[in-house]
Amino acid sequence: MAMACKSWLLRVIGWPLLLTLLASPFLLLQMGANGLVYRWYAPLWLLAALVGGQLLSIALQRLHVALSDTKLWRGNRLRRLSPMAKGWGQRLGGMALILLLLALPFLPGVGRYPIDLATSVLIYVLLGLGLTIVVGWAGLLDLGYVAFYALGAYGYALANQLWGLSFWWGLPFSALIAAVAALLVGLPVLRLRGDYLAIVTLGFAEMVRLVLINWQSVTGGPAGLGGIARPSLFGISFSNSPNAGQIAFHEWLGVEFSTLQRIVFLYLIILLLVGMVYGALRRLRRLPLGLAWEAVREDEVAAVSLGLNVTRLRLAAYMVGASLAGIAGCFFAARQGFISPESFTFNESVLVLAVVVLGGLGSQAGVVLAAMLLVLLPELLRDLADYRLLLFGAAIVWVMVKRPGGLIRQPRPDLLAAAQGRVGEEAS
Amino acid sequence: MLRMDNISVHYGAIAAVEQANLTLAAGQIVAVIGANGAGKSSLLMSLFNQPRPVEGTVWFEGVNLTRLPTHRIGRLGIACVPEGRRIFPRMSVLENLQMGAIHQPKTHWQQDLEQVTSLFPVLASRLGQMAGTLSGGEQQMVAIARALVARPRLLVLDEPSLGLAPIIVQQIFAALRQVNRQGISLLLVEQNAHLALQLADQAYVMQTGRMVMQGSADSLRQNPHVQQFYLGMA
Repeated sequence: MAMACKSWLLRVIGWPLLLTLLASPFLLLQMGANGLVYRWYAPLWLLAALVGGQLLSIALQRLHVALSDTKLWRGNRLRRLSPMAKGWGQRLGGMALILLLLALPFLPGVGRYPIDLATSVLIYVLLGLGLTIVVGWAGLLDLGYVAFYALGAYGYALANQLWGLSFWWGLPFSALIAAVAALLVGLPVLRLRGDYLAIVTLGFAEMVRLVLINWQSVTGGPAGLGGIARPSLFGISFSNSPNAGQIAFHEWLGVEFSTLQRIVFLYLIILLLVGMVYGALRRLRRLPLGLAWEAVREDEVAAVSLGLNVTRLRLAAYMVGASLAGIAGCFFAARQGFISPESFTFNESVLVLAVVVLGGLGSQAGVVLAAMLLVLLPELLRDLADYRLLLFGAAIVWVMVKRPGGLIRQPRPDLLAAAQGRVGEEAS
Repeated sequence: MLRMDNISVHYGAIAAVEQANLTLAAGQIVAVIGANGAGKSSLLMSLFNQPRPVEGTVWFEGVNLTRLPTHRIGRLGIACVPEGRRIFPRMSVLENLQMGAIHQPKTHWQQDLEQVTSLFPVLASRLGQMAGTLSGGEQQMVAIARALVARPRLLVLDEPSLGLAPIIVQQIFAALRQVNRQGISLLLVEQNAHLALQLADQAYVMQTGRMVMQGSADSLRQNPHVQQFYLGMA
């Protein structure tokens, strides 16, 4: 009983409080006419809205359970297990969250900085989702994930400069480049077990970075590549002075030019990308391929005796993960307009790995939460200057001590169903 | 159906199996008994080329298995219940079973699932549970069920009684007999000679890597040597 009460409190107060804290840098500061304005009341509104939403969702869930035919629920377990057991409340909550994210840039009082920050978070969510396939699902320790991120970014930047490839063609192009690289590295290496793989991937990432620095004639060396084309919307450009043949967004709409328009557009692109990948992965993990990846992670010998081609499955996981990093890299290059090897250091690999581990190995929702935490926390702690990294590290350690399985333990749809169904039966 | 000719398995310089022969006719239950370290498991796993035998050939329904990669052998109609069960602990029971049927068409999945859950009724109420949280006996049942949904013609079992309570072992062996009645051949490696000889039609005795005796299970049960060393009779 005490446990139930505690989880209820966590749901109604705990999570809203955490989310509010994470979102407060977005909300507290706003650019006013006379510089930064401090709005202490803004987070309170969010908190109230979240608590209200949670209460509503709980009420709906209770109603749903009360209304649904309990006999059906307790009777045939086979039938119950097949669909994802999900209350209206959860579904409604999910929809509300999507709407909120879509509307975020248009909410009053949300300025340039929060949208920019949210875009950064979403890039790390995308990277984290890719790495979660490799590390969380397939159980391959990749310490050089940033290599594919870099290849995606440079792939698009160079293709754009050489052949005038547009951003939208750049996305599949970068994914392909990264996947081919993963194939070439993975083919000889994925026969190895964990530790060796970690070392090889680490070395590969370093190789890629050094090539980027030293191959000056192509990559521009440490000075990087600039003037990378920004994304356009069906030929509508978001720059002040578009290229020939392109229409400028502000002229098309008849409004005044603002760089904010481009920032919002970029935010919506990455939101769309992350949303699509998130949805696709959710499906994938319930499909034979997703399950087979897990089986290989759980027990290689058993998996191979069931007729699974372990090497090919690992290669597939590695390539899918890499292509997502490639996509993230392409977006990163288009967003920045300028890239240099500095953005692709070992630190980035570690940060993405931290997102995956902290989120709870294999958990998608965990990746989102951990990316928010790991990108926003340093921003929150900006005032503390020198102590920033110290506190950042301490916060990670604290989370891992309190929740050793990660922020959100890998949610198993059918396990959840079983747990919900058991409430009535095993009250003892 | 299965013929192992002159099989030798080495681990580096150590010879685990030397020139062993074994045949199994369709529909039979064949048991290999022997003490710890006699080479029974090595012989069994050499079927799957884990490791590949250094000499000899394995014929299964006219196909030479020794040349195939392991994952191909699993698709030919041989399913394996490995030693120590080797279920996927952090996947649900249902998902474990789905992995067994991964190369099967979806059309008979529901039917196969119902069949294994009627063979092991306890699994029906455990489908959503994480397999690693089951008891040892239930895990063994999952391993057998996972092999059965692959619709094998030959089921290979490595020490299915290992570490289980006698009453559970009885249940499992009863289930195996039922499986055999459905026309699936069984190849069984057991230390528990008593049980194995009760179940099997044919049996082999292994000792330090060599086949030392073979014959019908009944004749071996009467054999004074077997009685003394493997059945614990004076």
